Amino acid sequence: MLNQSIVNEVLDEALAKGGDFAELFVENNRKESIVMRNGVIEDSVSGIDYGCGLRIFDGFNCVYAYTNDTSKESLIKLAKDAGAVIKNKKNTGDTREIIINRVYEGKEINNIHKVEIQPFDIIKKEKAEMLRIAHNASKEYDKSVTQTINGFMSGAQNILVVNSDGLWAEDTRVRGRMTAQAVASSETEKQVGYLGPGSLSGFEYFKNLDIKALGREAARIAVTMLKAELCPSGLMPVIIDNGFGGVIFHEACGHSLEATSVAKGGSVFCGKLGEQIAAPRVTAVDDGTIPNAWGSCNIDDEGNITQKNILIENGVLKSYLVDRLNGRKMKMRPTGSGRRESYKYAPTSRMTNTFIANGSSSPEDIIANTEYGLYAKKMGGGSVEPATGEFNFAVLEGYIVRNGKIAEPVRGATLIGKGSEVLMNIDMVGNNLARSQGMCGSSSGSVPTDVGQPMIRVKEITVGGRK
Amino acid sequence: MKDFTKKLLERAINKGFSDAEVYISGGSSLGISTLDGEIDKFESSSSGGVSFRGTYNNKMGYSYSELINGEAIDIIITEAMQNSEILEEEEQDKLYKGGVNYPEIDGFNEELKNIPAEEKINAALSMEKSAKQVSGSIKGVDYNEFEYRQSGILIANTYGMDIEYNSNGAIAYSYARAVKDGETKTGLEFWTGLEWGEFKPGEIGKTAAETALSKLGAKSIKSGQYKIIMQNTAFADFIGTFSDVFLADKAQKGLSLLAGKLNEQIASEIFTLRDDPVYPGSIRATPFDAEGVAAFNKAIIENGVFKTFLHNLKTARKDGVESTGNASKASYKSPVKVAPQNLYVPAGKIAKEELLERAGEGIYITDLAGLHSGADEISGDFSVSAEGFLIENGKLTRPVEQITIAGNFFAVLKDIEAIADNLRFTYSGTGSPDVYIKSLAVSGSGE
Repeated sequence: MLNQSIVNEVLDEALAKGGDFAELFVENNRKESIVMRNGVIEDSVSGIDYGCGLRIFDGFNCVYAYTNDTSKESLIKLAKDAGAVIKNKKNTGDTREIIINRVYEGKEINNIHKVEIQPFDIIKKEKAEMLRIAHNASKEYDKSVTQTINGFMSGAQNILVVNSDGLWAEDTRVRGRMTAQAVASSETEKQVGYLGPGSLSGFEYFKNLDIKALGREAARIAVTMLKAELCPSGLMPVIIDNGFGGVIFHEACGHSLEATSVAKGGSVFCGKLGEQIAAPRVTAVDDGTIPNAWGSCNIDDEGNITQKNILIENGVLKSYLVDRLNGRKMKMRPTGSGRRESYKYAPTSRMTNTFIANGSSSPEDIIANTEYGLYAKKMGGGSVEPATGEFNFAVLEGYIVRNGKIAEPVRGATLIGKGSEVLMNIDMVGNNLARSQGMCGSSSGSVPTDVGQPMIRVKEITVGGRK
Repeated sequence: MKDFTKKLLERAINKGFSDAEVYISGGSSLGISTLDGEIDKFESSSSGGVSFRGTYNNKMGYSYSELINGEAIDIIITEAMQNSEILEEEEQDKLYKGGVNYPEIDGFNEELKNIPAEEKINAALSMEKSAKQVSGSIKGVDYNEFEYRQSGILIANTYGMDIEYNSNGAIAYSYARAVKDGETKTGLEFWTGLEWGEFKPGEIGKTAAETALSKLGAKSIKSGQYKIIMQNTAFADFIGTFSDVFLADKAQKGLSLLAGKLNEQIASEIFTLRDDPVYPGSIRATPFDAEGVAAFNKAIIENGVFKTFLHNLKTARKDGVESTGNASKASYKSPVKVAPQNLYVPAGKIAKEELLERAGEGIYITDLAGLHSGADEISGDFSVSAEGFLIENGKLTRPVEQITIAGNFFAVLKDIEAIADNLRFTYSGTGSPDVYIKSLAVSGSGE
């Protein structure tokens, strides 16, 4: 995407005044999105994101600059301006000799995420028809379904990462996602059901997707919740089902294991490597190598090959998620976790596909062993405060469990607590691991991630309801 | 850029578009973040892109590009044609012919632009230092940032509209962490504006630290119904979360429970809500919206009566009214939608202290978390986690944490008892004073 002589000059210029590491990230990202509301295609937008980001390290300090103009003059100016800050900061007349490796090693990238059908080879009409199938399935499910929103998006992102250590890595990431949202209404209430499956693969993913079932399931959630009673409040056992239920681990624990928060000493899990931070039955993994999974990549956005990171093994903290800069601060090797939304963001440590591993209980046993509690079948979104681990999640589809049986549906529940406490309080782990797709927002922008888990039971969580 | 615009519009007409428009936005920024007395991150950017739209077979096709060269012109036009082909809405966007007078606003401060990077760096360092000086319990300032931005927007179309607006501004914030006896609490303070002289970095750091310290020793409380006072920024976030209910496009699609309620009493008589895109001193101020329609100040709710939805040209045409100048593009990548620009609750007449006295007992909510997930924008139902302070005998006493407050947005509007005089805007452009709400369901784990 850029020729080597320009790259050499830019990296030279970046390190001319100090600094010990420089990196260029170039991106050309073709994107499209189509939105259907109530069976009518309302938006269809496509275009090209294009630009280049330059990062310079000086010890633990980092300068980042980006531009859309990748002409040689523009990039040299970018490097000069960014490099000047390094000089501004030090004023020491530093004469260290920085060795720039000009023999770039084209990292052999083994593409484990095969793409059979390029999404941009498929005409937009076919994508629109897919949305119509989901819409119709939602509407046909029940007459209380009054609105639907269905979306399709795909992208083909070409990236190049080059750095002064001699790395030259290129990759292409083709992703696609479909979303189905259904709203069910009564005279006084509206309830929403939502699903959003996606994948790091070509259009073949959608050819194999049961789109009708997707539309029906979104409607089923909305209709069930429309008939639900208000959820009671208080401290109670909570059973969280598989798939998107893993958002609880993602938000309440995963973010606190990111080096971004650990290196600053701002995480509850600082200095806890090797310690018991979760119940012994809990093992948790972040795996960026799962073929065609939504959160996977061949290489991360710093050019490191992604890997499978065991975060927690039998309750013991084994690893953090580490990017290059925070790795320096923590004296740890990067874990293939350096990610960014686009060239507009400096990369930092982020999750890929993060999940709690299978345990030994069957979902039936977990329910049968619960006298009273909340069963959160589908979770909504949530957020967490990394310093304290305090989290909150909305329950999209919930039921009361009474005498070992799933009883009436309840709506409007929120789960709140502290991640570190919940981890210790997981007292049953199921054997039905599943993953779900989401977009995770943080300081390096919004990136695709999978969350996941089998069904788990937490001894007690504060449930905020409206009753 | 003028040349590129001209070529793009000409080519569109040649390719069969009946009209066409470019919307170009671009700018530059400088961001400084510090950690432990050193620059942790320094970020500079210059970027922008072109948004294209035009009428092709009576449909409005959109596309965009960050690649700005001759080669991009063909891709932009082909994509816009293909996108237009699958659109099915009966009512399509139409280009605006312009030719009107725009409000004169000065959103570009030369002095701010010319403050040297060195001085901006020192200000950021001083925010962090001031936070740490407050107490030994301040163990870190996890986010301590200053950002300067300048941006320009240009809209030109084949009807002769050719307008441009440049603005700049700064945002600074400090996020301090207090640790004591194994307990951790955080406090945020921020500033936005155009006047360098109004920026008091020392005060920001100090306030962030004091906020964090004041929360130490927090406990949950017993579940029940409580009188609630929401702090200005918390109520601003709260109202921002539900602002979609005031948008005409949501109402026209049956996604707002306010549909059909114009001129009805939907809120307490003391409650007014305005959107003012030309709010003096706002870094979000703009003389025109994303369609080039002149922007102006309007009441959405006045003394409890619902006065207007927010409109762009398309939604206004559907309802047979005038646009309120609220066409919005999230970026040059987005099609035209509707959004508030500076949504705010005007200041009341009483001081915060009097508000507390009126409530007597209750909870003063300073922070709401999880609004994006715990609030249903359509039904208005919410259940979100909160923290703040207990109000006893009309005074703030101990800090409160690990509670959720739950209720319904539309009911809250009716339950507003009093409004303080301390209007403040958050950096996302929503403003409010402290607001006293009759009661909300609170759940906690306390005795």
